[in-house]
Amino acid sequence: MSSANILVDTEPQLAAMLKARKARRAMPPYIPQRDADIAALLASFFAREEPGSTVSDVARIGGGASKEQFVFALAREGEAKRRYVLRMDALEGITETSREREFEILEAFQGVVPVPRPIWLDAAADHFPMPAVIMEFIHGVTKPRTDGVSVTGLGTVLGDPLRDTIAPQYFANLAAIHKFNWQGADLEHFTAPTADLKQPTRWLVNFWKELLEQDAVTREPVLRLATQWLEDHIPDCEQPCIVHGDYRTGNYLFDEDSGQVTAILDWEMSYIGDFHADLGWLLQPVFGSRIDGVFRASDIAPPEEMIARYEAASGNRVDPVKLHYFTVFNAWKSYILVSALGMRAARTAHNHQDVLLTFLAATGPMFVDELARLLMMEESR
Amino acid sequence: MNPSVDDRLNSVLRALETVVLPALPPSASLAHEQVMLAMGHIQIVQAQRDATPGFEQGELGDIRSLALALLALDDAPYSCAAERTALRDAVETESEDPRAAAEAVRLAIDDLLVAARQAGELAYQSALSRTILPLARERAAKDRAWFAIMGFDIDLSAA
Repeated sequence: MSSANILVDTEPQLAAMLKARKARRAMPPYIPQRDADIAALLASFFAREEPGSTVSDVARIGGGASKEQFVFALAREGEAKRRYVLRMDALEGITETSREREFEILEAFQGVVPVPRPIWLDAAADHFPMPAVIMEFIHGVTKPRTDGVSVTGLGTVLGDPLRDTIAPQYFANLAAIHKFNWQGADLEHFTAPTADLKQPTRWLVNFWKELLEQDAVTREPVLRLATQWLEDHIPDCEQPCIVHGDYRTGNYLFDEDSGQVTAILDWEMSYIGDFHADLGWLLQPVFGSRIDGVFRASDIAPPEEMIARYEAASGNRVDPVKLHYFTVFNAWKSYILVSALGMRAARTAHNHQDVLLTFLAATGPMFVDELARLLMMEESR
Repeated sequence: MNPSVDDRLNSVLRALETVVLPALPPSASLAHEQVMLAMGHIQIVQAQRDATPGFEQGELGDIRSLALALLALDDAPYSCAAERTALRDAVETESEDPRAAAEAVRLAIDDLLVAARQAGELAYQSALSRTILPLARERAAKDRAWFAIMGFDIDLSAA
């Protein structure tokens, strides 16, 4: 068997995805969808799915660095209009994810934490040009109006008094995600890593390592050292849970007047694994704020307070050694996202946001620096 | 007199700002974002333009210095000999493209790190790490400063 046919030792669904994406590499440039074309596609889709319904008010949603997103209204016969969101893949993007998994995880978390309800799925791009999911539209904003214009979504500042209102919900929702009974949920496109205690994180590292191998546009020595360190120090995961994968300020909606969180978004990188991964992610400097010399992770609280409040909300005890491991992992993953996948997608012109991807890639040196700093701590032990 | 690069880029910026942006309907959010980003990119490229050749030569100089430090390490396993030779060749190869030359050195270092791991001699692997990491931080500090203008880096923005 040639190496091209050997599947990576990761979740079987993700291994198949990693193999399939190689075939897309040689495809011609991706042309962003036009609003009128999407409107026509939605009209024909609902002519079949909801006969007698009418599609209107189709408009693109800005933001995001991986999916094309459109909001539209659907009026079923005799009913008032309701708004929905279409999320559709580009050929490549800053992430490599599955619409089937996104649909399933959103469905599973209905009533557990606030999430949009997914309604329709076109996983094989039978109707839309690329795999797509349609979900209900949720009212809310990702940042207060006072935060100014930031196209990238990084560095959101909630400020006072919004921060104090959102913070308890932030921890309660994360705790609910990690306490979720995934064994009892219908997650057909997820595989539980239960073969041994290291399998959850071994699968995770193997998945991202393969993405790095496929997409690296440069060979940073620190990235190789980090990959080797992560492979050599995989921690045990005694109780695998649902890991959101991108839980941070900027990835939830809230009502600006009440401060009520209305939806947790961006579940596409979720998987079954170690809860420390979410903590390592949300504590990253790039997602935080520094105001008057005080660093707040996700603009919620300083890191020590974040951990204490998470422990109180979840009942989980944070293991500092595991948190350190996932701090390294998340700096490594972040570099892979922005400097490998994002840059590769831009170079191949396989995304609708090339100009954003090359902008975000300038964060790469921050992650290289952080990885080198963390690995130096290891060397000095 | 020929129009300068700044003259031309400034005229592009002005066209985007005064003609293209106002012509976009409010619903064209992606187009609006893309124009804003394009303008930001152009302004940053303008700000970095004169210093770019020196910056790229600096990158090449730093990766070559790192490579020479790695080649000076004692006790490399025999099984890494080919990778060390390839690294020396990459360092010594002249090129008119500093970015391509730097990448060739990085690739050769990467091959050496993979070979060292396969060789399994922990002392040598540790020596490689201890050589790479501080120099990587020095280089990253220069790269972060170079991109500080983009506004992501809260440590540098706060400085």
